[in-house]
Amino acid sequence: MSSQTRSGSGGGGTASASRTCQFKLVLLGESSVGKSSLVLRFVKGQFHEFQESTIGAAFLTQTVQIDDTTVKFEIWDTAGQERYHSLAPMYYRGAQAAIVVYDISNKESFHKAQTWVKELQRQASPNIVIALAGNKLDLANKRAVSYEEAKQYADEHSLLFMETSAKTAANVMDIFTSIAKKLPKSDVNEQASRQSQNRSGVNVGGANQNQQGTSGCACK
Amino acid sequence: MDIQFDLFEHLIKSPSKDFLNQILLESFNQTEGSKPSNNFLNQLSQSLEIDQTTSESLLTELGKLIRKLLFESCTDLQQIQNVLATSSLQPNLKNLLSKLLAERLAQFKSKLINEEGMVPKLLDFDWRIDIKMDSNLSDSGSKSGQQACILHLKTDENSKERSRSIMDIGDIIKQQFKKRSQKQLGLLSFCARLYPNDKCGSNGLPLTPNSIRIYGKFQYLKTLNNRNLCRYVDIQRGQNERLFVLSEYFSLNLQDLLNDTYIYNLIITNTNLLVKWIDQILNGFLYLNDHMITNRLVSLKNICISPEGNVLMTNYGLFYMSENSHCVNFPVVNFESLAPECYLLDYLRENDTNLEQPTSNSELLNTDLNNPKSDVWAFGCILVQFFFGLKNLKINQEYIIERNLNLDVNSNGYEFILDLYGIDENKKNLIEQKTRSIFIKLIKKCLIVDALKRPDFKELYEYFSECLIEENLGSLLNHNLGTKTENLNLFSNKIRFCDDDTIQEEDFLWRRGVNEVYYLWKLAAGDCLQTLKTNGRLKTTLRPIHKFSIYTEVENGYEHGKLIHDEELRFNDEIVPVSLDQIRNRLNSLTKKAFFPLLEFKQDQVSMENIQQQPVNIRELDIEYQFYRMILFSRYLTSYPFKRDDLIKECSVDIPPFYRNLAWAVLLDVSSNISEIYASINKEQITSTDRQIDVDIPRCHQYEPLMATPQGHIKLKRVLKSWVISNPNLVYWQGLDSLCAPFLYLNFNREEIAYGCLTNFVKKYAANFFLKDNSAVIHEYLAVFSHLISFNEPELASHFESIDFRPDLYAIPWFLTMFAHVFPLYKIFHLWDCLLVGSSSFPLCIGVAILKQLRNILLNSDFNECILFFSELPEINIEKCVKDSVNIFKNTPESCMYREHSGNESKLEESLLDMTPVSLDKMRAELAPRISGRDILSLVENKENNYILIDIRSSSEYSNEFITNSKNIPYEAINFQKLSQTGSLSSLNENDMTLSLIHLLNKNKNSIKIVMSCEESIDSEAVDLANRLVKLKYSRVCVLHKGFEILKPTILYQRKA
Ligand SMILES: Nc1nc2c(ncn2[C@@H]2O[C@H](COP(=O)(O)OP(=O)(O)OP(=O)(O)O)[C@@H](O)[C@H]2O)c(=O)[nH]1
Ligand SMILES: [Mg+2]
Repeated sequence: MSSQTRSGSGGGGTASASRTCQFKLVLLGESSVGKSSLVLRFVKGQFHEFQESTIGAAFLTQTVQIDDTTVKFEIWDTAGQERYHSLAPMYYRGAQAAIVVYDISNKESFHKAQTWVKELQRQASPNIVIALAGNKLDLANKRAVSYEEAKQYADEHSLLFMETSAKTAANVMDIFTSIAKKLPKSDVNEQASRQSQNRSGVNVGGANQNQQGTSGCACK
Repeated sequence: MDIQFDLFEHLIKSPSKDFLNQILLESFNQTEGSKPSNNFLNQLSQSLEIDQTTSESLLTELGKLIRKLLFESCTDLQQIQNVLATSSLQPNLKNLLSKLLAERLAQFKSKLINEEGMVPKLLDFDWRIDIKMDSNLSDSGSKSGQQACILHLKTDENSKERSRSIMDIGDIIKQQFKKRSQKQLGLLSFCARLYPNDKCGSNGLPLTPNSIRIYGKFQYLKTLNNRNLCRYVDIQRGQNERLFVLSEYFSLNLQDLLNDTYIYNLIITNTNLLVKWIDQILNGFLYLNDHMITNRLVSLKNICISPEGNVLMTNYGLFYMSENSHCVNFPVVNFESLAPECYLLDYLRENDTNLEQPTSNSELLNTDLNNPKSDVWAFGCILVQFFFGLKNLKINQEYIIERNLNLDVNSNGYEFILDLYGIDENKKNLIEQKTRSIFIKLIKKCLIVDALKRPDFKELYEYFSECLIEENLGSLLNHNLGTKTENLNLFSNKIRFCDDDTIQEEDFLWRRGVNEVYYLWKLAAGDCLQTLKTNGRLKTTLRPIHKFSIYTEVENGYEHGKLIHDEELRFNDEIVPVSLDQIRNRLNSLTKKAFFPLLEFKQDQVSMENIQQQPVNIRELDIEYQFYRMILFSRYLTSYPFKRDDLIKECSVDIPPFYRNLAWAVLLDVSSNISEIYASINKEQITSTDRQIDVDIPRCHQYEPLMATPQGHIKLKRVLKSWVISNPNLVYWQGLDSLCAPFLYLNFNREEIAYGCLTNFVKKYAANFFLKDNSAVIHEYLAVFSHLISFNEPELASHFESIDFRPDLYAIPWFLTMFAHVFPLYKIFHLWDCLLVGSSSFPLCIGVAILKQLRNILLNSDFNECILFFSELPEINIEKCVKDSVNIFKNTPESCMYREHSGNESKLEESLLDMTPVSLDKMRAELAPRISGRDILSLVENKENNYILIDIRSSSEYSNEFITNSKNIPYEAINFQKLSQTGSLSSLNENDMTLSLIHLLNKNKNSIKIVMSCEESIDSEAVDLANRLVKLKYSRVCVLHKGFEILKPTILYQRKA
């Protein structure tokens, strides 16, 4: 299990025994497949049967301990409705990891997951670690997507793959831990410098440079 | 009443005392309508030596006097003398007349009483004039108010009491009803069936608890409104799946009458009354039939009698709300009167295991179970009970079941029931002889064993009418069947007003209608569980072991009645009265005027200023305050749309929760024909967003039971789909469900109003947010929001700027749903109470107010912490938030909130002084808002508002032409390094522009700081300076839109000669 340490070793002045890495992770997938529920299970160990739908996106953090490294996830949980698609790049741009979620009792959501994978592979950063999660494993008796089919697809596209259940907590920890293991771990100081370049990695529209330009040249 | 006393002078000539007495008698008789004989008149004229006309007048005037004395109860000598004292009669005559009158008056009085009942003595009266609405005209829209005079007469109770002694049998019965029946609030309590803990629906999620299913189903019952049905008022959920159902109720029912031999004997021979009652009960049943409700709890106990002697059924909705017994552990049935076919069907159901939630199959079965003809049988049964005087009918259940299951379809139901009830041949013959044949005929018609041959209520009613006509009793039928009187015609559907014939004249509280009374009762800390306990319904303590055993039994699924020994879970269909003493005590001090306030006379209205200083939460719990507000709002709403403006003004003070639904509809200007509009939308049409709506609804405000009910889901879906279908240029975005929820919650039984509110709300506040491509709209909105943060909270703005924390990351759900996705419903109500009286820009101010409330935390948080913070918004004090937003709104010039996509059609004659769109890129680059020339003019006009106008053009330009009261700080003369250095400003050097600027800014900390350049250098200079000022945390900075040039045509412009 993880113990949550709210980036206490921020300065990195004292050489701590363990290293801290920070990663940005985004969840994508059709509406109502259980993205928010997975995050809630991972972050708080809870499950809400009436989990509210997500509008825009929600942000949460959680740390996991991998050997002597503390991995801190900054998680962006996005809205699943197709209309919010245009906002998605703002969240996956600069992300080191993504979980694409579908609902094993809903074939359509599996197709949607595939288009997300395609989009990520084309548009997100090239080293992004992508995991495919077949959620609602507890509904196995209503399964519409077979394990084999999904597994084969994941292998073909080199994705991590697991079937999960936010309700029973099955494989929820595991999928995040697997991602953490697969991520390249650099030192916290490097992380910090990367972060300052990118603020905290969220890129809102293209307005950033634009604005800095204006204020820059206005100086006398 | 003027009496011509001087005519009495003639009496002096009366030959004898007897003759005088006769004159008095004739005078009195005349007032009673019997003319004196010509003979007597002749005699009178002769004796008194007056002409015929004068003697006639004399009698009339004497009659008037007698009436007056009787009316004023002046019956003793002294009083009479006092009355006559005012006249100028001779003292002798006065005395004589007084004496004679004193002797005779008592006789006259008793004569009056015998003939027409006593006229109550008028003690006092009061009157006022008010506007009365003519509801008949309201449909055409040309509603007109009429002046009406309202009279309050106060009469002497004693004189009424005296009159009671001389009434006929019908009146005795009536008096009994008046005395014994009292309108009340009734409480019924029972427990819903528990599911085993691990039971899940097909989506893997827990099943909707039965208490919530019942809760949802109940809502429809609230809409039933018939003069012969007690109204359902509310349902509450308690612990352990316990439910509390509140309804109108009367303290007298048919069972009580049956138990009282004296009254019973009077009634059973009173054909008129019996026909009236049967007619009324049938009316109630017909209404239930029309509304697809089967009663199933038909019993004498469940038929109430109002003080006016009308009958009303109660407890008729339990079978319906429990989904035909599905959601409860006990059969909703009265075994003594259950139709034979029901035993068969129920028997089938019992053996159809695992019907936890109705599947399509069992629903089919339910429609059979919901057999309205079973009520016809039951009606027959209670008629037997009543006419045969069966007081304490107690029959072994097993025996009834067995008898019924063995009953042959073709046997005689009437004989069967008589036999079942243990009525022997002798008694049968006796009663049949005593009872009018029409009643026996009716009973036989009801008790037909074969359900196919048994009439339904319509047929039964026709049959009954025909029988009555045959017996020449047709005139007894009351043909104005239907709903109770309704006055208010708002949004083309009716609101029940307090016109109600089931209450006593003097009972002002009940005049407010049962729903308001209930609401007040709750405010007066009325508690259902406590009421049950007070009535000895619940054991106050349960031994733990006892508790434990119940639950194991239930969870094992052996929950069928017999195993449960505990009182708590056993069903008791007895309704207990809810005590209203507390409200009455609280409202005792109020005058009658409080119940009937005059809207036009402000001095009549009670001053509310003290209480209105209190927080809304306190006001909403204050029973007297709510009482006043409710009356005020109901008055305004009754006269809608007359008093629309006054109503809106009152809404801006606060909105009484009881009338929030209608007040909101008024504020949103919902069209009066919304029902037709809503009805005309094809809600079944399949749309591409159906799936999204389907997955969102079960996640929308589900902590609120109403929204979690199956009905809530169906209704929300219908309203959302209607919106989608009727707004073809807009689309469903996730979040619209949240936006709709408050409206549906408030108008659960009036979907059309929810729809109307949603439509107009989106139009006004979220115009174009729901376009398929809304990014331009949303981003503009968020950019303006950023500007408002800078303007009002520059510290936060500069902090956010430094950590690159933009509204795009957190505020989309805020504004897309107008906070409905962010806050629980009860908070949204208060927020929107305020929002709805504000302009379309008001929500932006709410956003700023929220940030303001969290300022200290946010200022000390980095990017991650800030964003985490908004993912789960902490507790926000809505009261404070509302106050702050109002202030922010007041203190921010309108043009600073200007939006191109606000949805308001831009004015045709747009002048240079107005705002024009600015590109999104520019808006994002600018930290401060822009202000229009027009707003500057109004700032100047409104001298209180302080502002400074910083003209940053070169000093040569300034010396040529300038604006009154502006201050010239040329842009190129500002040293920005120096500007950002805080600290010593001691040496004010007129020539150092930077120092002058700092000085100016610090001297006017709270003023609006308008940066003005010429038009071409707005982007390069004015915006740059404004941005720097914001980053330096100066508040209320803005840039003049379109620059110096636009002020040239105004009076502010000055030019060097
Ligand atoms: N049976 C079951 N239900 C689940 C599981 N995970 C989530 N749910 C339910 O599925 C519904 C949708 O879950 P969310 O977490 O809100 O889905 P989402 O992907 O975040 O949806 P959007 O926010 O609309 O994109 C909720 O009612 C959850 O309770 C699961 O593992 N098993
Ligand atoms: Mg979600």
